Amino acid sequence: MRTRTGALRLRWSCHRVLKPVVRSAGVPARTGGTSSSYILLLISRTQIRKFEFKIAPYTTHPSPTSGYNCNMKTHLLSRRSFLGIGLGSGLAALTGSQANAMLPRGGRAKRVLVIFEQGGVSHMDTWDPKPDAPLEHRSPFKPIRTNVPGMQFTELLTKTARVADKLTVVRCMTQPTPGIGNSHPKGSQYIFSGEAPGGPVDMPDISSIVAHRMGTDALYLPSNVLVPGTDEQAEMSRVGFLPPGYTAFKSGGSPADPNWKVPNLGLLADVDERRFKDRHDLLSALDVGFVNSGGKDVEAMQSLFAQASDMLTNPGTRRAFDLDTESPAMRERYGTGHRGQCYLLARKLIESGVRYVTVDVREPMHSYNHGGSVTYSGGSNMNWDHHDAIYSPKHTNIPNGGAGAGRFGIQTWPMMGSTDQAFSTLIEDLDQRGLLEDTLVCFVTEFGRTPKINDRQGRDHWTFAFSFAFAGAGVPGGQVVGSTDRDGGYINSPMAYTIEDYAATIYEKLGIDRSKSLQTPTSRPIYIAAKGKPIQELF
Amino acid sequence: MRFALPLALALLALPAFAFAQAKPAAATSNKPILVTALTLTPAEIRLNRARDYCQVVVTGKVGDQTVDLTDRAQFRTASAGVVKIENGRVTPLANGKSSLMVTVAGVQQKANITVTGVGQPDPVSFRYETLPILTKQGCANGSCHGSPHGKGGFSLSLFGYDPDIDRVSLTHDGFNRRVNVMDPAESLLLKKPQLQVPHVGGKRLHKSDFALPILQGWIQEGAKTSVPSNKCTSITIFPDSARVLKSPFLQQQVRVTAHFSDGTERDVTAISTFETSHPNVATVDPNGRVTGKNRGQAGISVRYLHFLESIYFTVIEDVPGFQWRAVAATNFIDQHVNDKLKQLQYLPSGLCSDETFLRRVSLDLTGLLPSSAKVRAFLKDTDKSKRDKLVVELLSTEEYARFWALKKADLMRVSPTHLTNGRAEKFSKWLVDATRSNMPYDQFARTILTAFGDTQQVAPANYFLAIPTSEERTEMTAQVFLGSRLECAKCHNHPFEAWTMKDYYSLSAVFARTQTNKAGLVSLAKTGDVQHPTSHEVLTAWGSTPEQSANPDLDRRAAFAAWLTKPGNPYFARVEVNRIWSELFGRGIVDPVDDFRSSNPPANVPLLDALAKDFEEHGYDRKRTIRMVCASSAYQRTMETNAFNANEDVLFSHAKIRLLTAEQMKDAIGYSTHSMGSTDGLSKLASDLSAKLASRVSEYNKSGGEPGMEKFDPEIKRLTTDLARVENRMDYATQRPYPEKSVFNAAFGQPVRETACTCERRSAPTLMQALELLNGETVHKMALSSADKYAGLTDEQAVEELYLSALSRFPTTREQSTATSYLKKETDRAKALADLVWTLVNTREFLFQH
Repeated sequence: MRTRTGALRLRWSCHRVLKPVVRSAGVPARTGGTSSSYILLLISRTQIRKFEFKIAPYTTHPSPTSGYNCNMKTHLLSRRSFLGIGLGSGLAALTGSQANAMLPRGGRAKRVLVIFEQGGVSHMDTWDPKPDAPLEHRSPFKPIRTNVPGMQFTELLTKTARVADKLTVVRCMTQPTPGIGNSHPKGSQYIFSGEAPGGPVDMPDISSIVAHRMGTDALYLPSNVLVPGTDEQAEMSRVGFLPPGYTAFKSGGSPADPNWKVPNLGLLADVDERRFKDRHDLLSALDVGFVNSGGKDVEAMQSLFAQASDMLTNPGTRRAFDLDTESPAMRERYGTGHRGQCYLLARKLIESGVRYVTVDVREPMHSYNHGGSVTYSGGSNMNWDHHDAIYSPKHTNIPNGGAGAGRFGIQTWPMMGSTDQAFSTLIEDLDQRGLLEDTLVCFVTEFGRTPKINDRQGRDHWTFAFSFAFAGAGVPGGQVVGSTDRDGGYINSPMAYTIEDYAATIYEKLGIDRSKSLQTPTSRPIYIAAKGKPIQELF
Repeated sequence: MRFALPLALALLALPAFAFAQAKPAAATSNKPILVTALTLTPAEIRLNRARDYCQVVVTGKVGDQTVDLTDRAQFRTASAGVVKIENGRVTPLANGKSSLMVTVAGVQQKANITVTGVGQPDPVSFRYETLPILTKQGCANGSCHGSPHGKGGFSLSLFGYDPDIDRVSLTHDGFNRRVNVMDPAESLLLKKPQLQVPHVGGKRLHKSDFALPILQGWIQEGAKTSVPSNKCTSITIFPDSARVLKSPFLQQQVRVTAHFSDGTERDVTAISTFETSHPNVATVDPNGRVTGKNRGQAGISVRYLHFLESIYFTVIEDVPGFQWRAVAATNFIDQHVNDKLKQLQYLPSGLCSDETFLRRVSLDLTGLLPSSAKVRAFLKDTDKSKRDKLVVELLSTEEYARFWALKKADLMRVSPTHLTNGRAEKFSKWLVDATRSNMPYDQFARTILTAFGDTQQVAPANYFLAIPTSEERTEMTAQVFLGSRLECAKCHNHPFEAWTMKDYYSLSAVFARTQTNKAGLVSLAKTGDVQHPTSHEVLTAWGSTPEQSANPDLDRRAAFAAWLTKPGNPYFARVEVNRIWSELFGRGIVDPVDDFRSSNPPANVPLLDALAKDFEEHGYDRKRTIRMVCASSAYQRTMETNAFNANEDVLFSHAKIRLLTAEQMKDAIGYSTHSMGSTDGLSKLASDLSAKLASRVSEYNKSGGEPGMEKFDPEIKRLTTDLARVENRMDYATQRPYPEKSVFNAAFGQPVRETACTCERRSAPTLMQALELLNGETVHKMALSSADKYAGLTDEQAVEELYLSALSRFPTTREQSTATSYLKKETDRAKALADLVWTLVNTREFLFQH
């Protein structure tokens, strides 16, 4: 909702189903303070429903667009209730099981690879070009054609444009409650867990829940890996009330560093395999107390020791993490910097059978390229949080700058340059290896950026509309879902999807039954992605 | 073991077998029994409304057992046509008087019946009938429409905690199709649960259900939702005390009565909800009939509106071959534990060896392993009371004070994240001092709960600084001192307990006037109130009278603390003795320790009551309770089980094996590898460092250093840091003021002190632990550094020393020879020693406390 010539225009992004039945809207707005107002919805010939709104100045973010925040005071109609009417009285008694039958039955994905580009990637500079936006706010990067007729990205995704036939781009992502996930920690937690932070119980990461529900196919590898887990927001990843064993395993460091190795998954430097075996033999000879007594914890520990030993000595473990087993040409294809090598490592782990891999790459200022060191001068925090000088050819440290210092311009190599290279290669590579068949790939970010450029030549946080991209596991290729208005600020398509919907999509693709609850230690039932519905167009 | 196995198998099969035998016995109810006394509940039957009913419960004495005879009784009325009787439930037919004659095994009892109100309107009450029925049929469950988002677009408040939500949901939402006043049978509320139209939740309402006509009637009468002036004030349950069920008397009919503000009462058995805590022990049907299934204890909870009460049942079966052998009882603890074991026919395990006792009690009381010298001395000691003496000795150590203070600090969020600028250390030190001086626990609670002032000066006031909101204070205080998890009641009435939102916000009101500021000052404001979120009633602070609560000059916390620590408080003493018990046994009498509620019954009620009484009567002396528990045979049992307690793990018939906690593990590895020195050396180390520091300071002053700037001198800075490190015992995980953040500690489930829940500490084995132990830097480094410490010893001596340090026992001959031959075989002795150390700390005997 926003002001335009003194009237409120109601947006339906999150309450999309009501739109067709609006009969009366356009309520005068006041320019300050809080006011109450209402609209009337003509629901059927006999029912008129009044919805009250509280209109308060939008204060959660100093957005260049003066926005208004609306809180529906009365309860909204659920989608189910609406369908009951929309389809006429004959179908009014649409039942739960029928409704469920209408939902897509997924289950095509065996693994999930999430590329979490943290900081809030500008959607109108990448997936959602806006050539008709007012000139002063328009992205300098022109729309280009992709290999799918009618599907356009900006020129920052030139390489990705060549794999557009494998992608569905969802341009109607939104955070349903503005403000909740508007900060980076909260927004990141939202992405990791698929649920708006701040509820009574912290939701575990989607990846932890998946690992908990599905286990692993490769016992010698962790089932849930965060590559590399060094982003400042990696702290927001949490296992919550699930057993700690489902915590995301952080690979750490930078795989582009020639000296990089994974901690604790290879044997220690001065314990070679022979010595490890000697120790084990000695242990079997001496671990004789507790035989036939001790109970289930003791037995559990015994089998975990066996699994850990397998992890430590199985050649598959090392191979999964060893980038040297890849050809130089392959390493080159991904891009030999931090981002490219992280994406490559993610592909290797997926290929080795890891259930859920999340890449949360952020190019460090002192990084590596071609095995040598490289410094991005001024790039002390190169995530996508472009509050300042978003189109700078180098760092964004400008005089009188704001929260956007330490980044690099969006078009530079450590930002979209390496991302375009790595992501396009990843899709191509997964496809060529046949892995795209049952791997769901998601390219996500916490939120988008303001359609207007601020006075520091930056763009601020924008939770109303942003873009995600998906591929693999039955996701149709060459598809765009949803749309935004002329400058990319608001969704104007009939459909809009939330981060909860994104979570529901992942569970549905994996065939995880969301009607089965998890339990907290205090026996509270927790339903996963309870507020989400799978994104239909991805099935 | 070869012979024990079939026996154990036979035992496993036993409960089912016994049950199979019990069943026919129960069915042949006319088998002669001798009933000595017969009573009817209620003694007089009054039915005042057209739809009234009365559940009659028949109780008798058979031998010395009080048993329920309802299902064996024959019911007759003196005059026909006044009432109808079905399974002991009396319903009215016509106004008038009659009497009920009940006969069991030839013994007769009589009750007068008065019926009035038949023929007069008796409309269904939305609050007192419709809503309880929605709970009873499962509609308002947390997993169904009572979940926060409802189910299938239909949302109810959890167990009907907010009638207003339910009113809107039922009568306004869903386009009025949920209740159809014009054509009641078309109401979705009736059609869905009867599966006349598909329902994801399945069949929830049957033709024969008592609830069906009530729901139908409610809709027919216009689905009225008016608020009655008459308030339901309480419920009472019969039987009102614990019952024993023993074949052939395995049944018990429960009767529930609701009491109203106008003095009336009503039988609500048929619309109350019944649940069992242990379905394998006893089940309960929707009519409130409890049936004993297998040997054990179960709680049956009864819910009507927001009232929840539980009754405890003990189901007894005769175990073939079981013979109670008198076990030495040291004090009242053993008497209660043994009584329960004897009653349920479990045979306790024998007493553990001196080696095991020493290791167990050292880990429990100090968190640390005994030194090899201590093991040798203790084993050599021939004093008969050496175990008791050891406990007394350990309780007087600094290690005890720190390790037990840590447990409190865990709950009170003592960490530099919440308490900055040295406050965490100060609060921790206060907790250690209080533990060391054995501050009476009531005084401890009062001091903390009423503390205010500058948190740098008044250490206990940090309790409030660590948790700035009154909601969090409510939850923390409830968890720490009331042993109750109140957080559910923040948004809805507690699903398994009688805690209501009103309770939550009344407790919140206690802390509503306690303010903190950025400078770390805790102060009391004159104003600040808490409203009930749905009724908007301004709540009286818990423990205060309304006048006290309204008085701006009174500290509401003082009134609460006085209520809390007053002898006879149902929670305070029980919660603390139970925590102590749990620390020592690895399992609480109520378990989890912070989940006291009537639906989570104590494993041994008399034991918990006796411990609490003793605690209250002896000045809330924690050391006394610890001493008595450690002296009991119950504490000193072995972990080995016998044929008669193999499957028993809640009644303390044998020791429980526990994985060492993160802190114990870290220090145990340090101690047994000798990579960490004993704490005995710390005071000397500290005094050496202080001396060095003093001399360096005087040197600094002599050499003309700028006064007041000493702290910037690198040497002084280093010495000061080192001294603080030693004094705060930062290198000892079991002794530090706050946890060290490390991969190792995280893997072993050390709490980060974010909540007051003991569940924050994880104790289940994980893969990360296995990786840390087998291949972690922490273990590896400590193992490597041990080589030097053992270098001066012969192989045999090294092995013996290592066994004493790590396992608190001498090696067996076989272990000695295996280990020695490994040392001799390897050319690199340092490496071989490190291997041996690594091996020992990876044995299950080391990793687990037993």
